[in-house]
Amino acid sequence: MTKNISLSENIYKSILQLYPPNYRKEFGEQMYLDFQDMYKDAKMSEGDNGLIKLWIKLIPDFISSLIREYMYEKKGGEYILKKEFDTLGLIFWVLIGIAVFPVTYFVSMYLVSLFGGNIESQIAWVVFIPLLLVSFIGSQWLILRKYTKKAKNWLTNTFIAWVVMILTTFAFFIVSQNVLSLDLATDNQSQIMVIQFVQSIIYGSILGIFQKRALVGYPNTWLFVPANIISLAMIFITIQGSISSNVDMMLIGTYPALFTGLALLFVLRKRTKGNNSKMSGMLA
Amino acid sequence: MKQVEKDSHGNIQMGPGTLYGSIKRMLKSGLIIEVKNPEDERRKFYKLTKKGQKNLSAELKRFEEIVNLAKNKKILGLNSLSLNI
Repeated sequence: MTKNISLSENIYKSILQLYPPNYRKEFGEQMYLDFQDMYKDAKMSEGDNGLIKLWIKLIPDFISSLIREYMYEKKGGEYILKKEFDTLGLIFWVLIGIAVFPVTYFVSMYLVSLFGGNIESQIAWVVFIPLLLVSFIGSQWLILRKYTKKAKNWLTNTFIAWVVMILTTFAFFIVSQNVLSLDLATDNQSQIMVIQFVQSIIYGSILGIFQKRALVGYPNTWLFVPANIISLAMIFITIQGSISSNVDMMLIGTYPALFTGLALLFVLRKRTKGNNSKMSGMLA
Repeated sequence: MKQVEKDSHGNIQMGPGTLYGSIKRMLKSGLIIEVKNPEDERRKFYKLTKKGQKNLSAELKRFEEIVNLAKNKKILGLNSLSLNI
């Protein structure tokens, strides 16, 4: 009997290894414990015939559940998608990107002048930058809410990414000037291009990694990294170091919106069967 | 699994793969949560959440309506295919 148990246990353990790692990690032990119970019951009630019946029952269950779990994995795991992010979503996403910078700029300047401040002063930027971030990320959240239940994750992760970028910039300036005594001011065009290239990669990666984290579980989220790097590089190439017109203002928001929007078309496009909240759907 | 089989008089049989696939989806949807049982720490136990209870009630109500409809149409328990629906 011990030999039979060991053989069946070993076979079942080997079978469990074929499930996707996440599934196996979460439920493997429980499935094995259940198998042991089923094995004992079958053996005690019907002997070897019971064992044959048990395996006849388990094999189709194993094959169907194995296929199902790999299908979920292939579709990017289980994620909650309210609606596909389609061309209409992309249009809204880009329109907000175009509008948010100039609108926030004029609103913040109006607020500064309303309270008697000078719009040319540093104070104006202290009002403008936080307002821009809140408007930009907030408007993205408003759109994403229609497409995913993880829109709040996007909000918090993009905000954290911006905080990390700002802190990284401060840390870089403090270390380069006070510790390394580097002179970062340069008129050399090729040096400026190298600095902007490095900035695009660092900042784009930070934003992309946090946005990837926000929509974890969805397929193709890695696209946010190149999308953000390209959009920042495009901003640097287009505005040539300074914002000199209303068109420049619009372009600053347009590039991130366009490239992250294109990435979203590939991220928020597949629907799994696991979204049905009905019990019958769960047990299907 | 044994309980499901017993309650359904052997009509519904499920293996561990089907059971834990369903549990996984119900957990993800917030219909059930895992609860500790000090008497058996190796085993995982689950209980219905409020959302799960609400969904279950809605689903039972839906089944009840189907059964009532079948009763009203006098098709419940009929084996013949010649139904006038």
